[in-house]
Amino acid sequence: MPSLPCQISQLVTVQHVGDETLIYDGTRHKAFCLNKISSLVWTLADGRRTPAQIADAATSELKQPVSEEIVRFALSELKRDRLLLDESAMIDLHAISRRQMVIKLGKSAAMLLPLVTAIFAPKAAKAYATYDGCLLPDTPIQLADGSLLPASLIGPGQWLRGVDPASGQVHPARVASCRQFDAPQLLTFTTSSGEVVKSSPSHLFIGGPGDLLGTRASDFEAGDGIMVFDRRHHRAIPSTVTSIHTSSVPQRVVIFEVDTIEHCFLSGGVVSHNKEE
Amino acid sequence: MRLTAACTRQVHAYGVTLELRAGTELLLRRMLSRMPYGAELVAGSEPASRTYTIASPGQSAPAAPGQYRLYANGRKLAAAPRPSLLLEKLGSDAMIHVANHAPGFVFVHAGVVAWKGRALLFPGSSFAGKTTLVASLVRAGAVYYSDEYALLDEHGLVHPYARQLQMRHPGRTRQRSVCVSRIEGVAGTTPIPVAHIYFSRYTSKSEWNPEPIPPGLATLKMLPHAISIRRTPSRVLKTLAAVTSAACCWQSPRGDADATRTAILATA
Repeated sequence: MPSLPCQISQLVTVQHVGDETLIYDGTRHKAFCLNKISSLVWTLADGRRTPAQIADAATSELKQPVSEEIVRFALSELKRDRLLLDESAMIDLHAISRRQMVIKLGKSAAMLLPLVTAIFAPKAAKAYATYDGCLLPDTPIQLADGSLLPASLIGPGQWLRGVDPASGQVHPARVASCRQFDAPQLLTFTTSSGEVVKSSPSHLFIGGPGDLLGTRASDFEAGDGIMVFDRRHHRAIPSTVTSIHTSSVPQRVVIFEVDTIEHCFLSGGVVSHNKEE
Repeated sequence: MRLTAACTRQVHAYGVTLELRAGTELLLRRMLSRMPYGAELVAGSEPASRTYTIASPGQSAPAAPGQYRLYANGRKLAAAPRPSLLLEKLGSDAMIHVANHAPGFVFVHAGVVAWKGRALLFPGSSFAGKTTLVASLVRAGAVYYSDEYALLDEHGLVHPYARQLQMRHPGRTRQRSVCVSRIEGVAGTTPIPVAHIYFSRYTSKSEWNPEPIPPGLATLKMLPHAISIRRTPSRVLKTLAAVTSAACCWQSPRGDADATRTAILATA
């Protein structure tokens, strides 16, 4: 028989801010913000109450009716974000969808709509630079099998051709995340080996075999080294930047991260780096 | 790896001691010039939190002949044919280390100005237009605190990090350092409370239309910009919660910096 809903309490940092609760999970490096109703349901989910009992306790606390349906919806959100213990996550919550819940509650009771917002906490170096290093949507990205796909069609879970910048060797690298936004400026690089690639100024490229951290696109000058892919020898080799042009026309760009130690992949034939550690 | 160097200095920045080593005094001076804003030379030889060494090509490195190498605590960070190419890495790594280990502060990537004695914070990433907006606010009479970091203490006060503004000419990506007095502004000198926090990003053709957001959500939105969130999550959350609880928090895309400035100062 499954246990009653119970909040996770180990390996997390909890901070209450007004009616909201912030939870930082140090094992996943994820932070969550629970709005008032989600926060209350999470606090009351102590492993001793059924969803109906949580609804009763929440009603007393808020001094307004909180239905079991709302509680089950909140628990399903907390379960989705792994903020309940695994055993309690086994209970059948029969939750309705958010859309159905919004329709049911109506605008006047929107404050009773449970909401859990999550973010991924970056490494210190990533937060320092908060790199929005990114590429134009039509930049060809090499997949693990050697075929090319525009950056805009790359999604989490896909396998790209990753690169070890020290040795130049290639290996499969899985895409961990991707997103799009507007970049106010763009740079166009041309290399002595014929590659042309466009990126935001903060995008990182590998300047040479020793450039383990990557170099910002805006720090390159004509004549600087840059690593490119050698199709004949199937490895990354040093090349040279021949020209850089700047455009101040804002454009939609794509950013994604790969899940390998070196964080490098091939974009437009040039070795890109997506983290600064 | 054990590295030796003829010249050594220590600097102290925000409670963190760094040691620099190089083969020549000239190279050491260039390393010193890349230390974080506010770093001060210290005498003596207390244990350093991080030791940086730039090894010259002459020092044994069979795997990389003709290369200068940058090490941090003996671990190789980068190699390059010219030391100048390593100094950028040194500067960014030292800044990350100090921001991640400073005992009394939480470093948040943000622009900061003071208006009517209280701070306006603009958390955001590089190239989000922080410096442009901060410079515009300073030209309009706001007091300059930072175009890079909000230094927050445990009481929720923001301290000045008034380095020279790093400004870009339109159409160029390289930054140039501009003293705040060059844009007819003044820099703050004392810690102050935070009045408003604005989450904003430049988006073409958008207008400033701020919507209030609750303090918990604002804290969450600041976390990606807080350097030491992974290292000291409890301290970071507590500090940010103290700041957001006492401030009004807003979000909106923005277009032109001067138009945004006018709207902000009219309501701040």
